[in-house]
Amino acid sequence: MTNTATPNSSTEITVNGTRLSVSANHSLIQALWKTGHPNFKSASCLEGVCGSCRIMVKYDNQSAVNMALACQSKVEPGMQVIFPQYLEKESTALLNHRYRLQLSSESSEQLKTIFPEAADCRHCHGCTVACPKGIDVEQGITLANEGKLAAAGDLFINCVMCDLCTTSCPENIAPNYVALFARRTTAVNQPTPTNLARRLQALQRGELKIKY
Amino acid sequence: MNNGTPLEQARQAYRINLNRPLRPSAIDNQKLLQYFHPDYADNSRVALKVGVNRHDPCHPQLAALLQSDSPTIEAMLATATQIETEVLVIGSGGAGCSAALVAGENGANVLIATKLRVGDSNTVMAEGGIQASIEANDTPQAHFDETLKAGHYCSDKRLVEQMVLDGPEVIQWLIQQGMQFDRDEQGNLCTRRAGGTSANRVLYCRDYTGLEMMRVLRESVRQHHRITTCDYTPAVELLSNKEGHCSGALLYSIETQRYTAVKAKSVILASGGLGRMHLNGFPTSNHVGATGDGLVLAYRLGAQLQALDSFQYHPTGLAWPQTLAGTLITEGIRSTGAQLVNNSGERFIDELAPRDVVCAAIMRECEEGRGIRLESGRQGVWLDIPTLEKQQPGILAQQFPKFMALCNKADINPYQSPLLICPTLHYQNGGVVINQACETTIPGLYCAGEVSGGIHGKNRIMGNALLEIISFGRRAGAAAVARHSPDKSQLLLNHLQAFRREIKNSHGVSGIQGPLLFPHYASFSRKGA
Ligand SMILES: Cc1cc2nc3c(=O)[nH]c(=O)nc-3n(C[C@H](O)[C@H](O)[C@H](O)COP(=O)(O)OP(=O)(O)OC[C@H]3O[C@@H](n4cnc5c(N)ncnc54)[C@H](O)[C@@H]3O)c2cc1C
Ligand code: SF4
Ligand code: SF4
Repeated sequence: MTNTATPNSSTEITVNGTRLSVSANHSLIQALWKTGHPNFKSASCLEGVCGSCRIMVKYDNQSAVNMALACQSKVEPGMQVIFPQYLEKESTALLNHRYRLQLSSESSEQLKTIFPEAADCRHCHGCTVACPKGIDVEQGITLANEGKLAAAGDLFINCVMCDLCTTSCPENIAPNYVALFARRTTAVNQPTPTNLARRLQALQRGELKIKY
Repeated sequence: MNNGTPLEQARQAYRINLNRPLRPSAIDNQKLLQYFHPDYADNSRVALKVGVNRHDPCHPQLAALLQSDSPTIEAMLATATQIETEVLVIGSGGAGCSAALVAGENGANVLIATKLRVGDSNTVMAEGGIQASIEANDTPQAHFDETLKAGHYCSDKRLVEQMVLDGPEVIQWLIQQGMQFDRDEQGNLCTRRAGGTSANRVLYCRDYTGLEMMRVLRESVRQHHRITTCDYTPAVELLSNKEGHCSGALLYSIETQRYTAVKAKSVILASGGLGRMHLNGFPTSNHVGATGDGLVLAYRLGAQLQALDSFQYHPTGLAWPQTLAGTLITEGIRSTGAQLVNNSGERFIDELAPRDVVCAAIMRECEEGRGIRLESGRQGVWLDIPTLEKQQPGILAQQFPKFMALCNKADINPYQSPLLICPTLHYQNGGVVINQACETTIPGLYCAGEVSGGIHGKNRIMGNALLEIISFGRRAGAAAVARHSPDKSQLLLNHLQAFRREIKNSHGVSGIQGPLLFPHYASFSRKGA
């Protein structure tokens, strides 16, 4: 009764250049586990929310290479899979964008100083095509550049920070980090919710003690 | 045992029904738990033979792990690279990240060592939301009372008091980190009700609350100039000084297969739970790294643990398709009105009763022949999603995008077909004993989050875990900076040798080695071990 189900018929696939015979009817991660293929670096939540198992995949009957999450992908005969390396923490696409969140009406100006390259977007769709979560990443960058930060951020509600859009961008834009900045700055700049503010004040006045 | 109805037959027989009366129960909740909850089964506990909790009841699989030998040898420590930090945080879920952020804000240099990448955790998977008493018709007192009641009055009251009073400020802090919550038109935070509670007290960000929380905390951590992070570097042992106080940890790099010994003024253990131990053979909702490492490490160092025989089986884990068995379906969906239904279309339990009761009720339906049977022989009951959508058109797409993605992956059309569910191992109710400042019984060692115990008693309410990890995570960060003791000059394994002697003498040695780091089916092995 573990999460790895009963064995089924087997099928041939290629993973990082190695041909493997794996059991069909499984997710790629489950199938790899069953072969004893040591890929413990690239799986965590198995629900498609952590992004650690991102893959580039080409199916037998297709010419295009797709980006996907291995835990969400079923084994298909003849599929070719690569687990790409994550960007180094030191890579410029990630390092250059230091900021402190602040209350300000000038958030879109701040965006321009933190992510100046966002303005260079050439609308090549590279990021959108890359996104395994089906997010319209390019539209997010367009909205952010227009100063519509809240709307831009909203598009990324299910972004798992897999960085595939960043890896794909020819202009060295880090779209998911732009979006995260947009979401965060939107959050801090919204007025404090009334229900929360009232309760915080009551607590400060010491009105709400706990009796055992 | 009666067999229940085969899946296909039950699917044919299923009908949307807007008016399902609740079948009155012939037995009360206490009996229901006693007869049907896995924690109450005869074979669910043994007495520990070694360590501070000797004679205490413990789940047999966990007992084997706590009393396991370690693959760590002195040579690993002797040849390890030595580094120093002020605060070492082990684990990078919500508890670890919030502890690191507050420690950093309070001026300490912090190192986070984590098994996978920062944020690969149970936190990122949380869907339902986070508790905080903020509505006018609700009080922290009610939150306190209901937390104790759901936990069968086994919680440490001082910890619960502190947590419920922290609630609103925790939410404010999260917003300041840049976290978004769903709001209504007036800009108030939306709230919904958790099972076992009387008021709307769960705040959420769609069904992505954990993802949003983790995205934001991870970025805060990444941006923080005092915090350094080491991915793929699990802690495999704690280290002690001559007095037996915690002085650091031995880390193992999965990438380079080398060891690093970290000397720290304070160590914060935030390594989460143990779902991947698959207790009693149950499937689990937990992430791959949830293998109970923290408990093993702390126990060897002599830290006291508690409630080692109490676990949460979440009522609604997906039972079919089998490749996704165990995947969680958020309680949020029952909060909005989804009902549980047996093979004859009958409701058998208040869906918002405490989780342990709902779990036991489901087990009962299956054991008494009112379940729906898979070819494998396993059984489940229906979660009636089509009727929910009929009652509240549009609710699924609007509030539960993550759930819809799951249905898509499972090839289930939730507008027409109910989901087969059965309980899934979800949460470790007990853990390392802490006080209000997150100090353990070992000086220098702090704990926060799921690895610690005392807050949820024998059963946890939805949303209290996310509150706990931020409330106690922040406090651990602050305490670790304020109280760290000046002299931690030695990095020794004396405690491990003593523990080894004890297990040998008691003949309690279990065949396995700990910490596990990964579930057995991931085929992981540590070099030199
Ligand atoms: C699917 C799911 C849904 C949930 N939904 C909710 C909800 O709606 N509301 C709610 O309140 N709670 C929910 N919970 C529970 C809640 O998410 C967790 O209890 C909580 O997030 C635990 O936080 P944590 O920081 O203590 O541990 P985790 O978030 O699990 O983090 C532990 C960290 O420690 C690391 N680690 C483990 N071992 C080691 C080691 N040896 N060395 C170094 N690092 C290590 C892990 O990799 C991870 O980074 C849910 C849980 C799951 C699994
Ligand atoms: S990081 Fe980019 S590619 Fe990955 S989910 Fe987010 S938007 Fe999509
Ligand atoms: S990949 Fe880069 S340049 Fe191309 S559309 Fe996306 S953000 Fe713009």
